[in-house]
Amino acid sequence: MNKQEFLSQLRKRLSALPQKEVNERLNFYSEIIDDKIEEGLSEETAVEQIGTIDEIVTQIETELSPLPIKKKTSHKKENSTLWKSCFLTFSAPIGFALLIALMAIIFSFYVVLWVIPIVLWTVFVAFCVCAIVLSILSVLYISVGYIPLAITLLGTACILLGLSIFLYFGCKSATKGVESLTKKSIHSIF
Amino acid sequence: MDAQLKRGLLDVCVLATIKNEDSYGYKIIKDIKPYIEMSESTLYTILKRLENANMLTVRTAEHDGRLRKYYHITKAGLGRIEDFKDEWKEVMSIYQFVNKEKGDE
Repeated sequence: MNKQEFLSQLRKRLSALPQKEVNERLNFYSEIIDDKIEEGLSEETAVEQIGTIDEIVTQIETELSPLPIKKKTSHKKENSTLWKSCFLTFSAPIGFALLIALMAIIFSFYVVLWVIPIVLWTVFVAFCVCAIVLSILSVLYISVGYIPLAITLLGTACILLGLSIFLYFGCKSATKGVESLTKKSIHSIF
Repeated sequence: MDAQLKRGLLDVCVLATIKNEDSYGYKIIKDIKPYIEMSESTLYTILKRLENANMLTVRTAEHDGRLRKYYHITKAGLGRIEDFKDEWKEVMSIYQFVNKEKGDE
């Protein structure tokens, strides 16, 4: 392509831009082409080196538009699609029954989990009560005179008390564990 | 190279070519070519932008029977070069930090 062809084609493609700018750009290219020719290049090569008309137009369009802003993919968006798909699954006619079944399973899971600390605390309380009762009984027996029996009862009471102390710490940690497990699972669902 | 980074660098490159003496379009491209890739249309945009920011002035002079535009740096343009040099001292120290191998101190 020679210089004149190049410039006139480019002018056509840039017709959307203001005249003044188009003229300035074309003069700019013309000057560079002439300088290249002066340096020894042929007109064809000089024009070729600038690039194809398409390339130039695309480049100008890119420069005139603002730089692309990187889209932030939000974590929240991902979660909402998860919920949407869950909702769609459950909104089908059979979905409602499925939903109830699912909730029943989740509920029974939590019930079983909480039974563990409940049982432990119950045993703890039982031990404490027995220890107290036995100690009272042993005192009574001492007053009546049945010393060996009283000592046996007191001994048993002490054992129970000791065990309940251990049990107390066990209960505490079991409760804490189940509590945090419940909290974590609620957080991950919601 | 990152597009935004390149844009900033090209501005300063162009100013650097006209720092010591006036230059014209084709010569600017030739001088920058060994360091960074720049097309004619990009140069046009940069020169226009620098002119609007009063970092260079343009004059037309005759050369071999045709007209050529010569670009001359202004005080603001020289200031921009100095700012760039200061900015990049910081970049250099960050680069050294990033590039540190395990075990050097």
